[in-house]
Amino acid sequence: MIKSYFNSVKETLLYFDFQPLLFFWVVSDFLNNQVLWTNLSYWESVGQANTYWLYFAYLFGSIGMLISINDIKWLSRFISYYLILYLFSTIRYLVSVYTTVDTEPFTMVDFKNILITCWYAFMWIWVLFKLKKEMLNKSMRYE
Amino acid sequence: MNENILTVIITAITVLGGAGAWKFYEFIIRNKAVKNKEDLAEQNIYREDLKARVDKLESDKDACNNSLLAMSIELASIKVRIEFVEKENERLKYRQ
Repeated sequence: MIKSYFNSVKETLLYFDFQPLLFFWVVSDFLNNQVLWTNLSYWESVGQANTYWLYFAYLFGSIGMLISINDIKWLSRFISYYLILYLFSTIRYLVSVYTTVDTEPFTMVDFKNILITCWYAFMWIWVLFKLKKEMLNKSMRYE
Repeated sequence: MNENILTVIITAITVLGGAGAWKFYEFIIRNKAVKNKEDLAEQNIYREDLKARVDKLESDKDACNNSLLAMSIELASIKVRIEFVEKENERLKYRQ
């Protein structure tokens, strides 16, 4: 029973279309974007004006994905854009943890944040890989 | 080195590495597809050859059947003649 359950999960992950799931995920991401709920002056007041623009770049990616959810080519471009942003943020965080390790020890919170951010990065890589693979298979079918 | 520059460099290396890995994967998949296509073409040629041979054997079988039938008819008529000759022979023996 457990084996059949895991087989069913595996088959769902391997063979089912994921665009609906991606749609709900991106809508959630869009609604969580801080650009909608704060403004630039707030981020300037906390000394993180760049963070506002980073959120703005994420918002652009989210809107792009929502608009191009039915167009696999453009969807993969927006996901690539989003993934690059995500990798940039992840690496920025890792670099800041690494460079401040002398003054501040590597805490449990750092570990948790790195784990979560790497997990999300992995998720976006997986989504992009699936899309690119689908495009590759389609292009080979018509060759 | 400035943290931002370091981040940009690491991100660029990661993205380029990822793109390279994808290109390599694409190359392998395309090669595999070409090989599969070639194998399929070879299999099709072999299948066509087998079909031609089976057709030839089928037509040969009909010819063989016909000749077997003709031989059976001839054999039956020969048997009848032999029986007649044997009976005639017996009759002539008793006559002497």
